[in-house]
Parts: sequence; C-alpha cells; structure tokens
Amino acid sequence: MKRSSFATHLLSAALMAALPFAAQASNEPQDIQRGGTLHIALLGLDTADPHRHTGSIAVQQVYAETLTSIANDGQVQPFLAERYETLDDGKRYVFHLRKGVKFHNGREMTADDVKANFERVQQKISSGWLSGAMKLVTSVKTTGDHTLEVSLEKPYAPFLNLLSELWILAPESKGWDETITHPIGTGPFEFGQWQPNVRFSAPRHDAYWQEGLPYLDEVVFDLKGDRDNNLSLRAGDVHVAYVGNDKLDGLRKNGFIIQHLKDTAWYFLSFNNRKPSGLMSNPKVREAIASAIDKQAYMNFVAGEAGIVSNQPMRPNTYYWDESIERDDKFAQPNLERARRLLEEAGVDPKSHTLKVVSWQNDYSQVMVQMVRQLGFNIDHQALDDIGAQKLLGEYQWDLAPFHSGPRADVYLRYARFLSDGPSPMLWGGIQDKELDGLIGTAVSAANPQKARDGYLNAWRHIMDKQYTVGIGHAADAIGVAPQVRGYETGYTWSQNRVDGGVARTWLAKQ
Amino acid sequence: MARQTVKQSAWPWALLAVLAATGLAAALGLTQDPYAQDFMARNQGPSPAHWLGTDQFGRDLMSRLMAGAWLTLSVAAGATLMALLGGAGVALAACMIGGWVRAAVFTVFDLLRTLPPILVGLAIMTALGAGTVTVIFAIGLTFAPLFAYIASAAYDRERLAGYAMAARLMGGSTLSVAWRHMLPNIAGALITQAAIVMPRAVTTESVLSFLGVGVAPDTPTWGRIIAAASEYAEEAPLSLAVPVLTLACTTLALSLIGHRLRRAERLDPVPEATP
Amino acid sequence: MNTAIVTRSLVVTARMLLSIVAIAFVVFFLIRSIPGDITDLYVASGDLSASQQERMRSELGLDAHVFEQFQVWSTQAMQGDLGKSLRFHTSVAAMLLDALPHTLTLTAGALITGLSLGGLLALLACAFPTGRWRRGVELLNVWSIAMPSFCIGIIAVLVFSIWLQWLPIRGQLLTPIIILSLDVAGQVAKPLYEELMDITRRGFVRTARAKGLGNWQIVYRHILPNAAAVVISLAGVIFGNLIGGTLTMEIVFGLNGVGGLTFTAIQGRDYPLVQAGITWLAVAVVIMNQLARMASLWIDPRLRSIK
Repeated sequence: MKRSSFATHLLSAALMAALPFAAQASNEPQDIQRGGTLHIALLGLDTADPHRHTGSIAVQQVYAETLTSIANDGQVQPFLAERYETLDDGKRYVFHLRKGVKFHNGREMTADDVKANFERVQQKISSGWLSGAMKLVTSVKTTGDHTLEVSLEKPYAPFLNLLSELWILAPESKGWDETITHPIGTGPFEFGQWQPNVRFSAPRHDAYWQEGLPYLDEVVFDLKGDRDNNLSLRAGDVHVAYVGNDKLDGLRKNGFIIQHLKDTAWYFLSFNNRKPSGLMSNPKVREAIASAIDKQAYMNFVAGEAGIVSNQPMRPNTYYWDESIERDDKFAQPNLERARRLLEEAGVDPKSHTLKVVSWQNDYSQVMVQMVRQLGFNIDHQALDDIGAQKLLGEYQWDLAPFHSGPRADVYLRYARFLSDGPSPMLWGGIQDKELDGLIGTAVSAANPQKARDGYLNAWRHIMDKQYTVGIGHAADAIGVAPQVRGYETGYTWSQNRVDGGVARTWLAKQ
Repeated sequence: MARQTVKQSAWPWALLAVLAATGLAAALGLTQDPYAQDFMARNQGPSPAHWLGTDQFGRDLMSRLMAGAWLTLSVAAGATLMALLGGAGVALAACMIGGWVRAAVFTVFDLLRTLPPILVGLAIMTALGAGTVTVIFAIGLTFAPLFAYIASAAYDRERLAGYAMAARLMGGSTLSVAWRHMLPNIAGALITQAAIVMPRAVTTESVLSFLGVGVAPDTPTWGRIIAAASEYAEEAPLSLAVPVLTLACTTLALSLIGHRLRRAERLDPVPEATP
Repeated sequence: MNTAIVTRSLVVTARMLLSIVAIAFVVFFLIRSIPGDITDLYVASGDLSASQQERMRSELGLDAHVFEQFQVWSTQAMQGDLGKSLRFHTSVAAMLLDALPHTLTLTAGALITGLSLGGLLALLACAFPTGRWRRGVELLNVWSIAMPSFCIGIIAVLVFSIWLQWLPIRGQLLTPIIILSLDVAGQVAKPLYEELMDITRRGFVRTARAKGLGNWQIVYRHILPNAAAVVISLAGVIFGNLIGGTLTMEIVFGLNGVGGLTFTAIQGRDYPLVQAGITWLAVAVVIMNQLARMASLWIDPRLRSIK
C-alpha cells in the first residue's frame, strides 16, 4: 500500500472514530454557561458500595460508569468500552476499552481494573441481577492493557445489557475487600459527601474522559425522595425532581418542563399463584375479575394522557411487544355482564366472599379495589410500606395484588420475576411453573434477537393462558425540570449519566 | 381558685350532636356512598351534586366527611375506652395485689409514658398491620398510663379514707371494699380524664392516618382525608380547609367538655409517676 | 445533710439508668417482633431471590436467636459502638450525631420561644386585664388545643413556600419552630395567666408593697417562683407533646432529625438505627422529667416560705 493512501486511510479512520465526539463538540451551543450546582430529587442512595446496590438506580451513575450503557431508545451501546465483539454465538465477548479514561484519583483505567471488578462481583456479591449472570462466566482474561475477553458457559442474551450495571471502580477504593465506603469511579462527578437518606453531593471530576464535560461544578441529590418533590420543585429547593403524574398540569402552568423516562413502569394485577384459595383457583373467577377492570380508566387515573393500555409486560411499539397479542386481548374493555355471568356459572355468590388485596400505599390500588367491588365482593385492603407488603405477599395468604414495576435495563429483568426461583416473585403471585421456566430459559439463551423475541412472547402467552397476572398498562414516570436547566434529558431508565445524555451535558442558565 | 362566672355556652354539645347525627346518617347509608369513585368528577369544587366538592378519586367529600365523623369519633372513643379499662383496670389490680407486682406494673406504665406516642403508635401499627382494631389498640396503649396513674392515686387516697377502714373493720374483703366503695369515687375522676383524653385520641388518630399508618387507605377518617387533600390543596383548597376546620372544631368541643367536667370535679392536674 | 444529697443523687441517677436500660431492652425485642426485616427491603426492590435472602440474613446476623442478638448488641453498645445501619452500612452513631443538632435546635427553639411568648402574653393579659390581651391568651389556648401541628405545617408550606415563595421547604427551621412554639405558648399562656391573676388577687402584692419591697423584688420573690412552678408542673406534658410535634414537623418539612430518622428506620426495619433513635428520645424525656422534678423541688421551698 502506498504510504500516502495508507496515511489517508488512517486519517479518515481516525476522523470517523472521532466523529461522534466532534459532532458533539460542534453541536455545543455557544451560550453554555459553566459552573453552578444542580439540585436533583429522584431516588435514594442505599449504599456507598455500587456493586451492592439493589433496585432502581438514579444516583450512582454520576460517579460510577460501566462498559456498556443503555441509550435513550433502549438499545445497548458501548460506553467505557469503545467497542465490543460477540463471538462463538454469544459465548465469548471481547471488549476493547477506551484509552485515557481517568479514575477520580488520576490513575488511568486498564483492562486489569475491569477484570478486578468482574471478579469482585463474582466473588463478593451474592445478591442482585448480576450475580446470576456472573455465575455463567467461566473466564475473564486480559489480553493487553485495553482488551478484555469474557467467556460464558452458554449464550446469555441479557449479558451486554446487564453489564450496564457492572460498575467499574478503582480497586484501591477504600473498603474494596468488604464494603466500599468511598468509591473511586470514572464518572463526571466524584463521590463527595453522603448523608444517608438525606443528601449526597458530587463535585466535578476535572479529568473526565469526555472532553469538555461536565459543565456543572457540582450535583447535589436530595435523597428523601417522596411525595413532596412536587412542592420542593415549586419552592425552588430542587431543579430536577420526580413528580407524580397528576401534578404535571400544575407544574406546566408554572413554567416547569415535564420530561418522561423513555421506558415505562408496567402496571398489572396479580393473582396468588403459590397458594391460591379455593375460590381463586377457579379460572372463571379469575376471568370474571379480569373482566371487571376498566383498563383505560385505570391508566388514565394513573398517568392521565401518558397512560397506555396494554396486556403485555413490554410497552406497545417496542421490539418485544406483539401487536396480535394486543389485538386479541379479550380484556381490553371491561365487561361486567360477562363477569357476572361467569361468576354465576361458577356458582359463586360474591357477597359471601371477602377478597384480600395487598398493595403499596398508593392511589391506584384504591381504584382497583373499587373496580372489583363492583362485582359484589367484599374487600379487605392492606396497603403497606415496601417491607410490610413484601412480607405479607410472601406469606401467600392473599387474593389480589395490584402493583407496578419500574423501567429495567433489559427485557429479561421483567421475565425473571416469573421464574420459580426468581428474584422477588411475590408481586406476581409466586409463580412456580417448570414449563414457564423452560420457555424463559429458551428466550434467555437464544442465539439471536428474533429467537429471543419468540421465546419471550411464548412465555407471555403461557402466562396469559394460566391467568397468572393481568397486564393493565404502561405509564412513564415523569420528571419535572426547572426552566433554567439546559441540556438535561431523561433516559431509558433512571440513569443520570448515559452514553447519549445525562448530567454531564447539563448546565444552568443564570436567571 | 379564681371564681369566674363563665357563661357556659352549649355549643360543644350542639356540635357533638350534629356530628353524631351526621355520622349516624352516614352509617345508615342515607348519604352518597363515600367510597364511590367517579373519574369524570375529580377534584371539583362545590356543586349541587357534591355540596363540598370531590376528592382526587371523584368521591363526594361531604359524605366522606360525614362517614369520617362516625369513624373518627368511634375510633377515638374506642381507644379512650380501651385506655380507661386497660389502664385503670390493670392499675387497680396491681394496687390491690400490691408489693413488687405493683412496682413492676407501674415501671411498665412509666416506660410507656416516656416513649414518644407517635413512635409507639407507628411501631405497633407496623407490627400488627393497618386496620381499625389495631389503631384503637395502638392509641389506647399510649393513653393507658394516664388512667393508670389516676386510678392508683385515687386508690391510695380512698384506701386511707375513713369509710374504707370502717368497711374493712366490719369484715369486708379488699375486693368488696374496692367494688362497693372505691369504684364510685374513682369513676368520677376516670370519666373526667376520659373526656380529656378523647380529643387527644382524635388528634393522635389523625396524625397516624396522616403519616400513613392508620386505617385502610380508602377509609375516610379525617386524618386520611386531610392527608389526601394536602396533596391537591391547590386544585381543591376546600377539600383541605373543610376537614381541617371540622377536626379543629371537634377537638375544641371535646376539650371544652373535658375542661368543664374537670372544673366540676375540682380535680388536680394529672399527678406525676409514683416516686 | 451532704450525705443525704449524695445518696439522693445516686438514687436518682440509678433510677434513670435503670429506665434507660429497660427501655433499650424493651425496644430491642419489640422492634424485632415486627414482621419483616431489612432483607425484605431488598427482596421488595426485586433483587434478591429466596436463597440469596437466606445468605444475606446470616451475613447480617439476623438468623441468630433474639437473645443472642441482644447480647451482641449490648456488649458493643457498652463499648460505645452503636453498630452500623443495616440499610446504609454507615455508623449509626454518626447518623444520629448528624441528626441531633436539627432536633435539638427545633426542640430548644420551640421551647424557649414558646415559653417566652406564653409568658409575655400572660403578663400582658395580667397587666391590662380588660380586652385584647386576655382574648389573645384564650385564642392561643384554643389554637394549641384544636389545631394539630401537622395541619398547620401543611398549610404553612403551601402559603409560605409555594404561594409566597418566601422560604424553601426542606431544611429550614424557622417555620417549624414558629408552629411548635405557638403550640407550646398556647399550653402555657392560660395557666400562667390564671396563676398570675391568682397572685394579684390574693393580695401578696399589696402586702409586699406595704412591707416596702420594690417592684423587682416582688417579681423575683413572689411572682417568678409561682410562675415557674406552674410551668414546671406542665413541663412533662409540654415536653411529651413537643417530642411528638417535632417528629411530625421533621417529616412534613423534610428535616434530618432524630424523629424523622427513627420513623424511616422503623419502616425500613433498620434495627440498630431504630434502637439508637428511640433510646435517645426516651433518654431525653427521662432526663427532662427528672430535671422538672428536681426543679420543682428546688422552687418549692421558696413557695412554702411565702405562704
């Protein structure tokens, strides 16, 4: 190859590699103001050890980053990894790490660091989605300073998505061997001061790997996170806050901007599938109750216009949702006559039965109670806090459970709850169905997305046949943003720092 | 004591009568269904269909308030009764047995009194689950010590009284002396205390409901109504103002009644824990 | 005389310590009798399977017998180690220390402001017996009886923070202190007023004047002790109400205080935190009661000499 054309090739390759970031830089509006402190009130922070964090995560991502990241459209993209290759039908992954990524203590991230994090999760963490995935990992090898090879026992479709929650920290972080008390990550902000359940402050990381970012000096999280967020936003206590769907009009009227998370929370009504009562074991009774639900009114109540009716766990017009299943939903409209007829056929006199309903302390559960009452049943409604509800559900002495489940990084995380030994299956009645386990297992180890989709939909059809749970609809959680906040965009999940958005790109306009 | 000729207006009794009447009407089903939701009519102001407007579920506020009168008052009354019977009953039994049993029982009452009532209520509600019965139990427990101390102080006072000694001399057992002579005297003090505790029970129930640890969520006790209304205070200010005012007036009425009863009995303030 | 005082103080201290230990004991067992523990919190958020939960339980020592757990806790507590929060893995003592200043400021602020306000109002009502000061006392009394502090709190938030935008909601102590001090003032003003009126009517003042005492001496020897006695006899009740009110205010205004901390801890079954929080609150009440008792004994001799 002639030298000049080689050089040309090299140059154009370099330019193409740099293009995404160059595009960003040129898109940077000239009026960006640097500095300032952003106050956010979303979810809480339960631990200073990112690997041990469970549940929805909205704070950690600002100081801890991962190899992959879920983009706004729900697709997984490389993040700390520059690119990756999937080999051997999904049994081997090669990650090419980004060069020049600096930890908060100044040291550059290498493949050895990433390997150490993988090993830590494998050896020290016994809870969470990742520990299940890590069990399938047979080896983690570093081939060079910036290349990592991971081999799995068998193909695991959710792997890349789940890696968006495998945090890469510096092994010299204090507490690495036990519980980390001060994590050193690579994120745009550093782990500052943490007052549990109160406040978390994160000052800017000056050597962040994305050039020119972040714009802000500091991000402060209000960790109390409860129903007062709307008021805090209005009073000017916070700039960005998670707000109830019924407060949106009021906020808009006062000049606030409303954004929704790109993925939705899924609303459903579960039956007790572990120890159903005699009454509830009768499929006609389940069908009757499902027929009494006015899905449109329910979702309207939950989220106004942002509420979408659907009978599937993934929301309409996404890859893992199926139009024909939706069309054929016989519970799309409420049908009280059919419900009453079914109860008659089953020889059930609703007035003589009391149904036990368990829920969290929210409003929509009261709507469900009222809808079921229409059939003539008596209702004993226990509305409890997280733990109380969990405990009561786990005893399986109940009949109905109206709940919702938040956005997840991967479709698998929705289906995992239907497994016989899945995490927290009680919200779905504690399903123990070997056939279903098999169907989900097929989807998880599918060789390509099409097969995975088929697998998941088969599993869902099975669940509908057995009437384990009734899918009601989807509603995206709403975030209120003060007008002086610029460049802030919500993501697919609660993450505040992603490949294509987040607080790194946010800045405050002086008023 | 200063002699003040206070013209005793009858308004507290009148208010209670009205509340009892409305509560009864609600209980008998003469009002709109306080649980009926109407999504077309959420957070509305007063109208001919809904005299006080609706809440965020479209439930008629007026009928909820009236049902709430019955519920709130019965919970408070139940709790007060439980505190009276439990507190005074246990205390009297302990006093009659005497000795270390009495000391132990009163140490427990002492402990109960030092723990902040809302936290005690919260702990009990969390342990036993929501529901009317558990609320009554929790609130009753927090007020039981007050009755215990009154009962024990009265017992000590009466025991030394002349007639008690005379009765014992005449051969009556401790129990019959207590029953026939002491109880009528103690009862007066206890009833007055009950009248004083009642409004506090109402307030405590409201706070517990407000904090989310009261009765079942759609049960319209005033605390719950206020908690729900506080979230929508801007859209429907009346739905917050009216329950708050009703609660305030009721508490006031009950307090006034208690206050007058106390004056009539010429009772001292609640004595401190036994030394 | 000295030995009597010493023995008395020893007895008092012993009783207090016993109360505290007893409270700790009772709370320990009570909180563990509440169904559900911290691992259920993780299960609730969907990240623990049943087998993982068992493992976490034993890691945290929650599967040991209750007595065993108490033994572990008490030995540590006596060495000053209050343990780690089960939920956040941070030192309980540190969390409490962070929360303490807020609660103390709120309680002390409300107490001082309330007593001053109530006292002032009572004095004014006494000095000008006809008209509005007297009515003010009555009004304040009614206010503190009828209006629960959480109601006022909600309304204050709406008015001052939303409509008027004068104050932020979270973290400010001004509004809660005002609300609570009105409550305290209301409990104190009327009894004080009645006591002061009583004194004037009983003619002490005339006698004292006749004896040639100046105004300040009258206040000092006659009025203050009686006023103090009234306040102290109410102290127990006032303080008890104040603790409850502080908790409510901490929740409504999102303050990081001991009450709010304990409240969240109970819901999260965070045993070490609940233990420390409730014990601290109970200790505070015990100490306050004891101080009130001692104060009333100290005041008493003065009273007796006057009568």
